[in-house]
Amino acid sequence: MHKCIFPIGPQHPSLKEPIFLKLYVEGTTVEKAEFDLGYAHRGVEEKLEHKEVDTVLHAVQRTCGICSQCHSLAFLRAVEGIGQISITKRVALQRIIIAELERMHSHLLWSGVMMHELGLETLFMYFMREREKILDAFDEVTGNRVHHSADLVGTMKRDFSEQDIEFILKSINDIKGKVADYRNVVDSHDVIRDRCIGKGKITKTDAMKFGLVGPVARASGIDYDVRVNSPYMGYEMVKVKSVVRKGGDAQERTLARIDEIFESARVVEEACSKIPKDETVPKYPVKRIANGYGTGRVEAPRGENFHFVRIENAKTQRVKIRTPTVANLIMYPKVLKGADITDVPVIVMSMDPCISCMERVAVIRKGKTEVWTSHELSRGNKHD
Amino acid sequence: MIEFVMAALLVLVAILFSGIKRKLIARMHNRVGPPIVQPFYDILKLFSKKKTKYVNPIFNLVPYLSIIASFVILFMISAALIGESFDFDYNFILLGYLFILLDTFYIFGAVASRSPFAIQSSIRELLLMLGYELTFLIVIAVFFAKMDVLSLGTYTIEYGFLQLPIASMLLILVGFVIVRVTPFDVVNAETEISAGFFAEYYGADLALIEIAEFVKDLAYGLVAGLLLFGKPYALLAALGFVAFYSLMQASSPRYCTFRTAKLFILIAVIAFIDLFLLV
Repeated sequence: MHKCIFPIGPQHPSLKEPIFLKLYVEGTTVEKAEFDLGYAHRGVEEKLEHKEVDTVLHAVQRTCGICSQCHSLAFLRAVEGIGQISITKRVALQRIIIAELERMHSHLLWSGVMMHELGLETLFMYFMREREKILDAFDEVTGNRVHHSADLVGTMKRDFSEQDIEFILKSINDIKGKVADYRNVVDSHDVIRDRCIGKGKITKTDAMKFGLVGPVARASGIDYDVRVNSPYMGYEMVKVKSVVRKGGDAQERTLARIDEIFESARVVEEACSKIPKDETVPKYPVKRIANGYGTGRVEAPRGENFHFVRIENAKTQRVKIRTPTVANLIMYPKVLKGADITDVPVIVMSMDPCISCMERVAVIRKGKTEVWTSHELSRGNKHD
Repeated sequence: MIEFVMAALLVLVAILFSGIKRKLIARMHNRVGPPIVQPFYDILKLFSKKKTKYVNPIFNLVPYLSIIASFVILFMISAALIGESFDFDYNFILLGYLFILLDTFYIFGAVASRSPFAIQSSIRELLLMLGYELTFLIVIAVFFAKMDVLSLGTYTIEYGFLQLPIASMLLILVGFVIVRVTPFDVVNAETEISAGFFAEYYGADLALIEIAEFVKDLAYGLVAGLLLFGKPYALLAALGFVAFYSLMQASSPRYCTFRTAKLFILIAVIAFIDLFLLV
């Protein structure tokens, strides 16, 4: 049988972000899989050091283009914890409305990309069309379509007006109807079922052992959602139900994400109904942040997002970000082993990797870890 | 001479049809899509680029062989549509073999390129060939045997699909693989093997291959139109097939490779039974 190394990436039509998957293929079956990172490294963490908290907040929201608000919330959870700053009910609810809308747009984007991997371009375009409505809602309430930049330490930049809330509710109502139809297609189409059921199966035990998070873990039967297990900000005020499925294959992960769109829509509706009308967001600045360190974890669209922040003299000394893709990516070699080349894009995409926000630096040579400065990183060489 | 001119004009029609296909798919996607003449711009742009720098005679020869084979196919069909001057008995068998030859050239080019994507594509093509090429040849034979005609030029029957519904259906099914549309476009599945055969070609070589592919799509539409509807409606039927395959491309996901191969072997068996019953 013909043996070869089948390269997927760093640039490949099935990948939306650069990652190198090295597949050792015999015939059309993957014998072994390895992955390599570092093609989208921007040195984010180093750039966040020794800066004013507001500057860092602005930058940290730009860590990822899809889950901007989740990075913002994780950072704010840490900083507001250090400064012991409490937020008002209105601010908390406004923040989670944006976070849930973001989850919806992330899952709509992912669903579209999954359909593209399966060769169903029309549904890809239809999912993207629905996603546009969320981006329009972001534009309406924050002024920005992608990087919302709506938050400030202890408050938000603006109040949501009645018209804003109406616009959001109308958008999600439209989306719910359309996505319900698309879900039926995904769930009932024979070819989609054939391509997804039993592909990239992850058992509950493996998911626990590898420490998987987010919809990938929940599709394998692990009932863990930071919003439910450890509610934060406004999530104590709304009822969130985590979407848990049992199959653990690509089909279950697809349906889990689509179901999460409906759950997020419900949370947005509940949060909108609970926003106090007689309250406005407080003025900024609140107060100087004291020295100290803190952590913040939130449920991003792909799973638990974790930030560690240390502040000295009102400046950040260290910001450590652990995105959910880091936790999920280590599963690739195991799930890809034994798969057919045909199924590789479906399996890879069913884990919903977000490479650009995951890229960190960890240079290990012969078991010894090295620390590189930003200058060395930009030069790409330590010893020159 | 007129046949040669018509074949040359049909090359332009083939490129235009590909533009129509792209536009139709775009409209089904709810997009505006590129202008209908976009493939002409693409080909001109490709010709203005550098040639493929890969020193392997087979790899370098394949674009020229494929364009020649596709032009001969188109010439034979043009001759059949216009008159009987270049007609000879059993030329439909040669036509079937030319379709197979075109794909065989691609396999040679793919293997010579040593690209893992191209090699995977050739593995898939070889798997599918067992089913669809055989079906294609049998179905053509069924049509000519049933109508008691010996050559393409003398095929004057209209609405043949009414007399041979099963063979007509099989011919349309085979078209999915030949025209490379979902659910059976596994040979050049973009998200899996990045265009497969043609992964290593660029510039003028890729332009030649693209023209050969456009011509093959039109030639298939014309052959199917000729057999199913008759000579006067062949070009119109080819346009109809473009619309039909565009609809299928827009509405179906890609089927699994091995299941596609198994399905086409089953289809070949059905075609063989159809031929057996006829004989």
